[in-house]
Amino acid sequence: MDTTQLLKGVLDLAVLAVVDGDDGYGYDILKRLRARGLHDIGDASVYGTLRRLYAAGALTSYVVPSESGPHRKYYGITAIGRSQLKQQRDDWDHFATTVSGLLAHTSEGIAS
Amino acid sequence: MTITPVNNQHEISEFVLAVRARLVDLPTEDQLDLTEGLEADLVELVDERGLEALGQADEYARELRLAAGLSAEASGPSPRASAPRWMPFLDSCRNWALGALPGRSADFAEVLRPTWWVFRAWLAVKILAGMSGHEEGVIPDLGGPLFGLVLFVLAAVISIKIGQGQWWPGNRAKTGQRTLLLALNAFAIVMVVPILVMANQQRTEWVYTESDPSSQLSYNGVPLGNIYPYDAAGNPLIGVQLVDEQGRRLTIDAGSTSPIEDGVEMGLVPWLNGSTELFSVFPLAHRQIDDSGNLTGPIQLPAPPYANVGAVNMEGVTPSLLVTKPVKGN
Repeated sequence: MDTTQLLKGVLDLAVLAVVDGDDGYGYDILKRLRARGLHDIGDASVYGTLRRLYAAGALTSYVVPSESGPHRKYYGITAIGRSQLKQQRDDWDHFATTVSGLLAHTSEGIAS
Repeated sequence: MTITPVNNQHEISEFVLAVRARLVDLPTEDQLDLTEGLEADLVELVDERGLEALGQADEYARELRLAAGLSAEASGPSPRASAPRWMPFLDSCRNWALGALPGRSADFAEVLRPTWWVFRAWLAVKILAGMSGHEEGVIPDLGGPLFGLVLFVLAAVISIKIGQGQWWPGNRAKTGQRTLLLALNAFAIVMVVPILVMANQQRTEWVYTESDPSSQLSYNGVPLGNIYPYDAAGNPLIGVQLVDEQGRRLTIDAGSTSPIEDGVEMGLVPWLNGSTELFSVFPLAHRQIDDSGNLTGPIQLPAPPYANVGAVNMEGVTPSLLVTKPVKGN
């Protein structure tokens, strides 16, 4: 199954979840997502999502100067972002439960 | 984090520029949001996964735009389409300039920025003063006491706020605003030498006036308006010709003074030797100056400052006799 479309639907939730409680820069956030199993996620998709969440007020950003190279742009979650994270987590749980139930019912139907 | 080889840095910078070039249709703020910090992240990416991890800038930009909720492709060319390319170019120039500085010079340049902000404010005040003809002084007074100083302090505050990005045009400057600010800074840099030369010339000219006596008659450096001779008896004389020890006539600059009598501007009238006008015969008479600058009306001989200055004598010397009747004119 192509998980790309599924990822797009939950990317906001996934990004907010890995940023919650621990600020990070773009590539760092990307690595957190991959470390937690989202291996197929595209680099640019994460950067675009960060920008969109920032524009929506769910994330804040700040630049950290670097002595050894270009400056890094860090992102942190805001109160709006935490509220959004909670709402989307609830939605996901409900959705996942619904789909799981649907699949279980279908499986039983097929099995019977 | 390990240091990325310099040759990779070039490819990374090229990649970032290529991505930015595909975002040119977006407002500058959006472009910055999408690409600020990107280069640092890509350095780490390439360091860990190699250059091939960069992929294609086209595809990268497309994915970036879609994920950000924007259209996948840049909209068609517009009259302003080429303008935003200027921004990455300016960024590249700034980064190159800072990167080209040896050692910790970049940090030093950063520390010097506030000094430049104040200096350019001073330049602005000097330029303004020069345009209004009040350029004298390190802080010109601009025609009113403390006015120049107040203006300078105000200009410094504005300049610092602009430098800090707190006031116009701010950190999210549009292309035109940033270009205008760049042009103003460039103009200030260009004006540094002329302003400093002008300030130095003012000082030099002041010294020149005091140290190099004019060929015109002067008193403590101030040109004389007229001379009133008296004889040994202390009585005023009229028509005395003055020459120095080498026979040079001692003259008064006819243009150096414009005596005012009863509110009317007067000009000095020369004595005549044939048709030759002489400003070395005293006292010089006055005549009214008309609107065209020509001498007009009757010749008036100004009254001497004293009716008599007291008799003088010198042993063995016989002074000239007072001429009581005017010499008959030619």
